[in-house]
Amino acid sequence: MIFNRTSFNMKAKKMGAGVLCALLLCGCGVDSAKSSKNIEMKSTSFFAMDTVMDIQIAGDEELLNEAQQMVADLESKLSVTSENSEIGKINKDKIGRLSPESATIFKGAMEICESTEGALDISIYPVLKEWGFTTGEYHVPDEETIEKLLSQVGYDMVRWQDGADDTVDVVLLDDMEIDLGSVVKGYTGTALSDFFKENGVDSALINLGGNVQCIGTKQDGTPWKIAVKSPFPNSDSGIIGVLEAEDIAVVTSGGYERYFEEDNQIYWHILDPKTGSPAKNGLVSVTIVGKDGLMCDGLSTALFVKGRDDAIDYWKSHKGFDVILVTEDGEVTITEGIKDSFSLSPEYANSTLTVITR
Amino acid sequence: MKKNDLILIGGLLIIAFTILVGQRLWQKNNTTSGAEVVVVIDGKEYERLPLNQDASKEIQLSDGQLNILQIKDGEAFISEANCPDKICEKHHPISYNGQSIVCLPHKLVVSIDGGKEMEVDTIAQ
Amino acid sequence: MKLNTKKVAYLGMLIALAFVLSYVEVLLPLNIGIPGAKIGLANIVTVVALYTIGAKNSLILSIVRVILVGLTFGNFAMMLYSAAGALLSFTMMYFGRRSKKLSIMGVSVLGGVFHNVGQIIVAIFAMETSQLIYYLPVLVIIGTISGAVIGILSGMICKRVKVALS
Repeated sequence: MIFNRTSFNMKAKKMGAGVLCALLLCGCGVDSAKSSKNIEMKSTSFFAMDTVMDIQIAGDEELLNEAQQMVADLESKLSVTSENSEIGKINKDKIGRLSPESATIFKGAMEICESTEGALDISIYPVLKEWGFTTGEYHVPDEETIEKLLSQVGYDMVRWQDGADDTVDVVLLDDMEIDLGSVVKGYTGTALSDFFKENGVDSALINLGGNVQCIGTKQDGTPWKIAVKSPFPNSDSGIIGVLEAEDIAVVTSGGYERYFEEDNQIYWHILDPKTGSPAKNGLVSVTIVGKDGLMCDGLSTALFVKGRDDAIDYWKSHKGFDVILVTEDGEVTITEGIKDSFSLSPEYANSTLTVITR
Repeated sequence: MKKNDLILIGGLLIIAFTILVGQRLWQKNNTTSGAEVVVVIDGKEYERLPLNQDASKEIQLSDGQLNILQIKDGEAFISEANCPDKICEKHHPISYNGQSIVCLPHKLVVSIDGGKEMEVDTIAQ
Repeated sequence: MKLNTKKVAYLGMLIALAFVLSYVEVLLPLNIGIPGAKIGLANIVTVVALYTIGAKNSLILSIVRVILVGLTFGNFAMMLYSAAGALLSFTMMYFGRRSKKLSIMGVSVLGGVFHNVGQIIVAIFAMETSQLIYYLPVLVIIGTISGAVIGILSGMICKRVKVALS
């Protein structure tokens, strides 16, 4: 009685399944086959870059592991809190070389610093530290301290030049420190998105601590629905509006992300590099929608600092992105590129929604 | 075949089917209201609590980290925490799948599993 | 009861038949993720034996079958499951028959149901998951249906065997 048992078993199992379905008309105990989606979504969630990262992709689980590794690599190069990172070393020695990828991010950040005339400034870090936003030990510094620190703040005082093999050499003044944190997550989102696309993923949603980057559409072909958080603490739904998005980055900056209260005054972490104090120019949330995550990330901070009118002017004179601005009195302003894909959430349906055209 | 045979067969089938239907119904009722609050600390699941039962839970870690999780009226929120930034305390209550409260200093994430579907896929914030 | 040559040969034939039917069952696994769910084809032989060569011989037959099939197709754990099923099933059938309240059909149903019940009880202890008890209704339904079918078949076989043996 020597049969090839494996092949017998295989056939028998299929037959068995048929017999069984007939037997168990009620379907008890039998898991009906999962609905016929193309590819199963795989997801992961981990802590990195001081935030929570959620990634879901229609693709292989191994890609998620590699993605997490990529994030860890970037973090180890760029972390401002680590003395051994490239940035940490430059801040300590006031001179140093950035490897090609860090150099790309550095140059991207510098471009935004320049184009926004310092509304974004990678050298604001010492002031941010003084306020305690990097450690959680918040306090309001006195004016003298801020003045002194501000004398060493200015992206235009950062000396840099292209080195060999796409590297960049950076020289800082004695008390200067730089931080690429305002663009790193945006860059990482786009980098991960490119990595997934190269590996054949055509549907993915990446959320790096609130910085969203999506690939393609959902598997059923409908666009990703990306909520923009309400900056108002008394919100019931927590959502000011929803954006339907395909293949794009959506980055929001708001005072609600990190703040503290002292003497009934709210102080948030987005500082105006000109004053060294929290940027209060009427905006409470700025969302940038665009292809380039690094630009979206940097601009979301810079336009928050600029305030509504200057932000609109900036949008009118620059291309490649759209904007959602929320002012402190609850008015929402969007730009024409997303007028059909953005809608206010039911809670804010009665808010004023203005569409800006070029 | 005797009459007793039929009684036996009929009896067994009726009892079994009754229990089976009961199980199904019970399961169904339990999965629709089975939304859970999931607490994850540094990537590891720490606790699961039903969202439909009001509760107050101290989440205390060995190094003195403390977050108090409250579940009230089908919503979960952090009522108290000894983290430096207190962002988690100020987060509005969550009740939908995909929503989460994060306490970064304590590497704690509170999220909802098996609850109502939110109409959005993710939140930019 | 003394065994004559005819009965020895008959017992041997039943064992062989039980063995073959068990093998057929291995080829047709009731793969519904429920440990212990079985059509119980080999039960035909046990029922027939019970009605033709007496309780003692059919008990021996059951034990020999379980050991043979276990050694050939399964592992120790599987042997334990089927031993529990076979013994409980045999016991219930024995009492079912002795009560004289049931025909071969009812006895076979008892056998089918308790074969599955015995297996799940062992599985509950072996896997330490009382959750398995939820499968009991399904197992009872499967056991009842297969027991009834086997009862009809066994009844037909018994008539012919009795003619042959007498």
